[in-house]
Amino acid sequence: MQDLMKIEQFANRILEFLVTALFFAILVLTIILVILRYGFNAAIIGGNEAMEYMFIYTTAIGAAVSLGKGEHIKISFLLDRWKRPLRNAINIVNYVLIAFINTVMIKYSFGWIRSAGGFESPVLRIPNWIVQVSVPIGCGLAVLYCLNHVCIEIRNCRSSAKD
Amino acid sequence: DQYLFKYANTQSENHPRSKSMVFFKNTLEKASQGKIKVELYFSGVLGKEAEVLDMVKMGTVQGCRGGLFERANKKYLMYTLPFMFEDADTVVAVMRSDLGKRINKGAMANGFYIPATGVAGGMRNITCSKRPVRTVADLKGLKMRTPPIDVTIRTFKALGANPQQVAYTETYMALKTGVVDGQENPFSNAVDMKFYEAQKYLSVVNWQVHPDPLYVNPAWYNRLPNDLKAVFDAVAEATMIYSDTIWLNSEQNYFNTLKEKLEVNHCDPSARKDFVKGVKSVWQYYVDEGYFTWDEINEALTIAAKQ
Amino acid sequence: MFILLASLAVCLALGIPIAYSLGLSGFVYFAVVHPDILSILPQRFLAGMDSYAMIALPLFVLMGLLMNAGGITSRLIDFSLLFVGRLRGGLGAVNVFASMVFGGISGSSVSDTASIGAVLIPEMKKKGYTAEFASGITVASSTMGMIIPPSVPMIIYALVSEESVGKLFLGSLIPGVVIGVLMLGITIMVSYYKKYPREEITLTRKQKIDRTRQSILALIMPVFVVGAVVFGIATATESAGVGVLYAFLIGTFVLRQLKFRAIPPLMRDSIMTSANVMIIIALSKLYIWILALERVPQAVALFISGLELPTFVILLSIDLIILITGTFVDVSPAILLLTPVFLPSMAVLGVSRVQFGVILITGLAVGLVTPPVGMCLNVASAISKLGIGTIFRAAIPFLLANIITLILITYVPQLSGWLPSLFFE
Ligand code: NA
Ligand code: NA
Repeated sequence: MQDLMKIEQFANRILEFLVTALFFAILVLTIILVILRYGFNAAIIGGNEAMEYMFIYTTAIGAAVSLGKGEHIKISFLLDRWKRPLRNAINIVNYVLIAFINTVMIKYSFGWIRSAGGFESPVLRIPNWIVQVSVPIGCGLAVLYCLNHVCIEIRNCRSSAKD
Repeated sequence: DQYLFKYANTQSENHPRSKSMVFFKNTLEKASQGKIKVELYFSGVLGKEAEVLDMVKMGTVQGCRGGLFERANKKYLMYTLPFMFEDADTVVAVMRSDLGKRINKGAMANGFYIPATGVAGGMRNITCSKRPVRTVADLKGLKMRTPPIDVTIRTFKALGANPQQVAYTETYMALKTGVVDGQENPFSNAVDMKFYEAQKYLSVVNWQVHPDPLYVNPAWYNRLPNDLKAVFDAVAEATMIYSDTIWLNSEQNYFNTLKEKLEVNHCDPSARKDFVKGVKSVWQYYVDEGYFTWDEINEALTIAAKQ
Repeated sequence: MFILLASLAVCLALGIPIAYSLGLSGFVYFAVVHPDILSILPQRFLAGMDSYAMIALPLFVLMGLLMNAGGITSRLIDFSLLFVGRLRGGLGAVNVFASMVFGGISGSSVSDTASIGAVLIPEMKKKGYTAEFASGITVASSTMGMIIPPSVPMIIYALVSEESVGKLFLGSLIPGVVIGVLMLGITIMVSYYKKYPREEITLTRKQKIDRTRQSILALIMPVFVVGAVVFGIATATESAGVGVLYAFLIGTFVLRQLKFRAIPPLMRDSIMTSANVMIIIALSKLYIWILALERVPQAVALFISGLELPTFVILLSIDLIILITGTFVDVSPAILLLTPVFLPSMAVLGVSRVQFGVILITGLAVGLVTPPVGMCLNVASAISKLGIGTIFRAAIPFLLANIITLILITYVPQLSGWLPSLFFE
């Protein structure tokens, strides 16, 4: 239990650092674009496109981290009414279902990337797959977080049964 | 009714592109005696152009029309070379020539069956608040709103203008407040978006036109029996001819509206030669990048010259 | 359609996050109805995350956090005190007024509740106001945060409706101010009834001038941010970015309260908030795609025209639908779901895209303060330690202002249309 939590906290720190760094890059780029336009009558061609792609990664990765931390927006008032062992069971079912939908995304993303990944973006001419792999990466991380929490919940169940 | 053709584009139902697809639906359903059923989705309800194009490739929907033609065949970009064609009719002639058909066929390699190509509206022209654009020198230093399209940005940079990216929906205010001096679009867009309220000059330089291929999912097409394939191809060709006709006619009406609102100038032949000279580097760039060859450009120019 | 809605309801009731509930029910729909096009799932998911305009979201959140940490928020509250503190129920009035001003800076109501609530709820309790009153007025007035421009929900609506952000910002300004003025009136009436105190203002003339000057530095910001968007000088994303820079500069060099070390955690919080909202948007794209495929908007339009009811009854029903949806669904997915369904019918009813946007956002804002799903309630509950039901009951009198304004903008198109028409014609 301790070890699983530790691994997760370590992953959180690295991923949150990554996401924050991307956000910082987006922020700096936004400001530079405005300064260039009005200060120097110039533009970075493709600047907006680059911001967009970095932003996609912040969502894909950030959402996975939020799963671990339980920070997603949800309707919990019904769940809160249940007693402990049942609530644990529902939590496990939920994590399994979330892992399932993310696995579905990963499964179908391969065919999609193979078919449309070679297209280039209109301005930067970056191949699409560089953006598209954010889906299997984000969903893959989400699955790992879910599995970890299923393990943690199962141990919780056992320890509460012993009490 | 075992063959269902789901089609999508981003324009609303009153747009010439959508109207021509209603013609497509009616004609095809009748000609196939109800064996092919067509479902039309307009106004981008199924996604943006790039997304719907992916769907056609994957077979989620069976057909679409829109930009991003390079994804089907890089050679389509040749139609969009700056100052290559003098008017829309010459482009149409090239599209319907053997060269045009070869380009359509070439799309198969990238997973699209393209039975016919038309033009996406009339020639694109420049409006401006500062001065009429008669010569290359007039463009120098003008802040031009351009869509995020590689050719367009390269062209206006090559001609000494300063291309700026502003979202289409915010262009009106950007023109009005002088954030940008001018924009380039077919007449229809300039009227629909009321750009004329914020502009003074319309310069008919006919600098570019966009092709409008009908993208079809090849697997779906190949499942059709031969007689239905022939019916489908014939209706597709007739639809693109119909589309060109109504779209270009509507452009003429929009031009008449603009004539009342803006000071209009046309580009004289010697000035046009200078423009062509000014953008040759752009043509060369795409040849160097392997999009098409000078032979193909010259073939297209020869067909155009016969018009 | 039934499968889609039923599986969504089950997922939500299980307590699965909204984003994944949308994804799961979308999957169930495809698996049952269209197994051949399941392959579209990842593409719709990416399409939902791919938006330049939505980058404004984390930037606006960061701007709000920097303003709190840099002391700008408390200066604005001081400034509001100078203005309306002497009214009966002074701190209540300050709460409403500060929300109006703060609404002109922040793009969201939730950050409004967090910033103003954290300062004013404890302060009001100290001065003898009940915790219920303090929390109720905080959440109700924070609804202005997303109505008065700039507004992140408005940017989302602009995306779906393909309307200009500038026009929408102008359109929602007057309705936002109307809510504020009505709320001030209600506050004063309730305060007379409950005998709440006025505030003594014991500042010297020089102190007053100092506070006003510092506040004006902060007040330039909304004028600049909204002005830049309206006049096409910068995109909403760019002006939010510049707003972040400005809040940073003021907090660090003018008010000298912002520490460099405090900034990275604030950046992490903003981008994580954004990820939590964007993932919902991403997966609701899947849902909307299904609605389009099933031609639900056309069915709705046909149904509405088939009712043969007078227009004012139809509009009132749409208001009700917006309010009910807002009660159960968070703002951003609600915009994404309702806009494509109802907007096509609006032109026939004589409602412009701008007017519908303002109606939609005003109506959905109420949902932030109603249980069971109310983001502002959650935040205020964490600050005041009161239950969300209690806070909601205390907020009801003030929410009258929202409802009255909603009805006004539904039937008086000029309220949302006049200001845009001044600039855009
Ligand atoms: Na606001
Ligand atoms: Na609610």
